[in-house]
Amino acid sequence: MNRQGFLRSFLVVTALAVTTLSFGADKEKIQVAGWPAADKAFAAIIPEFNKKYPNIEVVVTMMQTGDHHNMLATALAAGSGAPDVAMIEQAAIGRYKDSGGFENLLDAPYSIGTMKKDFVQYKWDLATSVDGKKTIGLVWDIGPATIFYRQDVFKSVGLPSDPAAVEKLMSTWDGVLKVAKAVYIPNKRWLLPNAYYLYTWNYMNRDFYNEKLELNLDKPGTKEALEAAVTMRKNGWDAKLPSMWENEAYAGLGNGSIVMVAAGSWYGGFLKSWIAPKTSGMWGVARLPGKIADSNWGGSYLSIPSQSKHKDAAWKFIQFALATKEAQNKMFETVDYFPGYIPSWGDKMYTEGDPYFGGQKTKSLWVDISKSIKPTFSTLMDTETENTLNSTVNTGINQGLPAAQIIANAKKAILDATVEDRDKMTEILKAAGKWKN
Amino acid sequence: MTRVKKPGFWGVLHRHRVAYAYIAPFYILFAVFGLFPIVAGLAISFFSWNGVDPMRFVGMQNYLRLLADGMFWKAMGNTALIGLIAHVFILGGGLVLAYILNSNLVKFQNGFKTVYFLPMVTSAVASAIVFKALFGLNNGLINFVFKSMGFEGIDWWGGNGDFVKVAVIAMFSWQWIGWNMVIYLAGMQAISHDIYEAAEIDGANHVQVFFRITVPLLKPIILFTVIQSTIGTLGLFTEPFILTGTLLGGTDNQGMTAMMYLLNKAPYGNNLYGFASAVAYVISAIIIVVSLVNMKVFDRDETAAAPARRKK
Repeated sequence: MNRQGFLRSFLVVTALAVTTLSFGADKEKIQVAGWPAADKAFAAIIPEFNKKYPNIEVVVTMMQTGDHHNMLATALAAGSGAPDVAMIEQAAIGRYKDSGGFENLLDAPYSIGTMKKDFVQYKWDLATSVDGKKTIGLVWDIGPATIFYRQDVFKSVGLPSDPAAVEKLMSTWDGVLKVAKAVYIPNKRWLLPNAYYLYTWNYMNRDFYNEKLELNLDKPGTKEALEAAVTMRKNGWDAKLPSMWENEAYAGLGNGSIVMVAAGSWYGGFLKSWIAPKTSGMWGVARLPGKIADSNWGGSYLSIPSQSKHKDAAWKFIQFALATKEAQNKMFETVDYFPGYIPSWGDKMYTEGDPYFGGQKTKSLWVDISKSIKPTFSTLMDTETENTLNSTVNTGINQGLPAAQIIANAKKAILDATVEDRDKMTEILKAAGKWKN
Repeated sequence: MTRVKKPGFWGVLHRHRVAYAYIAPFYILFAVFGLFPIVAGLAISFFSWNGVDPMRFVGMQNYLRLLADGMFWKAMGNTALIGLIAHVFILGGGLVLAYILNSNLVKFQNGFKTVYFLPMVTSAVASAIVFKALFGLNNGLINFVFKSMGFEGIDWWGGNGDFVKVAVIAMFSWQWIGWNMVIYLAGMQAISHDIYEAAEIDGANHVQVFFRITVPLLKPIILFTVIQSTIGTLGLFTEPFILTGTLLGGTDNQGMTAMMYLLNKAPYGNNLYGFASAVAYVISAIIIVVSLVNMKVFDRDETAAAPARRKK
């Protein structure tokens, strides 16, 4: 190519680039940030969204859950760098609901107050400020909690394996211990990743405090649960892993050396997709053992950071994704995020069986549980309380302490660890006129 | 004597403006990314701030609460213990390795150098995951070896939590030994060969050469690595965080380091930016004190050794 030819083609390319860019500029770009598997969920609904709003381009950025929330915290503190639509996990929403940083969705133009009855109540309340004047996130998904257990293993050791019978057998802690003993093979197979879960399942809702900010570690039944956990450990019937979020735990659940775990419904998606994809048809789902009340674990919200310059487009996206049956169910189908949007439960998919769970109608079970979860009071101290509780209970069981001693240790550790946030929470309650001491 | 007035600050700046322009990029970057955060951090440490809402002045409260928090002292104690034991391996091992490589005792020196340095350029996250697999309880490689030899597996993460530190120390040492080895090696290559030759002629063996020649002459470099290591240890975070899987350091908080304590306050676990800034300042103060002590200790040795040398 001679020099002139080169120049000419250079000019053509540049001109093309400029025109494409200027066409592109007509589109409003919004950044949506969160953690996997939300990327797959968004990818499933963005084509439909763009049919309705061809001029909004959605750019999805994903990080790990922890990194995402750190990025968000830093961007809010710095005043710039936040996405236009931010996913917020339930555990983190308490950090923001009474502070600035996010748009109040009760105000115009969002005015979500009119949709309140369509969303799961307790989940909605968790994103609402103490004074009730502000809601900073729209409910995406909830996590109705159940146990996931290996039916084939239960059957092979002579235990009942169908959900109703399992639920009945494990409705007492003695029953749970009986199961743990039955499935146990030394060095080979255990019921749970760690015995302490018997106790912490009682606090899946993160209902640690009442409105006077009194720490309640003495909910009825919890001491018995902890005693059962101590017994389970003494007999060596648990796998003694630090938590269920360990590679060793995933491996154990995948290869059948750990046969039960309890979590929000979203865990079913984890099992299917990456923890135990090869064990399709072998899992059963049942209500929490030991007569623990129906609970919710986790789930997320979509929020608009106040610093966003595309609030209108961001709101259109949130509304489309979360407040329509079609999009919510499409995402549910894709990544098992159980919709917190009640009208979507009417779809016929909720009455169908799930082949991964041996054809069991898990979705209708989760709907039942969702309907009976009691609202809880959330505070700034919840995350720190949960982490400290898990840590002290794990330590106590490792050290072979008696249940009463473990609970006393946990109380002290939690009170020490939450001094700062307790002050702030008290101020928030006072400012809202809700302080009762 | 026409000019009596000395040139002031701006006068000096103006006279040397070209030179200042040349060195400006560093100072501008330092001001933006170094000085400003340092000063702002100090200011924030006297406030209560969640990162979003207006700050509220609380005076010394953050510092008082911090110093009264048993968990902070536990984290400091863990850090000190992990740091002291790990550095026996990191500095001592680095020194011995560097000496071996420097004294032509082995072949393939460049190969060894690369192998020992490799952990340094490996992502701490990736290697922590590998170490986690080594230290696994039921399926870990180390316990597998123990069990196949007929011993009981070690409960690395449970029990009284005593073994948590062992795992952290193992990984910490593994990662840093090569870095110090390279620094020592550079220092050793600056030591004149004549001295070694003279010692050899006098009939000194390797142990004598190592302790009488290499170590004393490397003193300034050892001081440098000790101070670097102090700072590194107080910044130890990724390894224990991933190994224990929690910001609280596993069983009985045995793996919780000072940096984990800090980051648990903000932004990882909580939004307590003021409190976290106070923690950062206390840690910085400790680093400065420990460094000064290091320098004092090493300086005194130098002066004490000098007259002894002159006697010869």
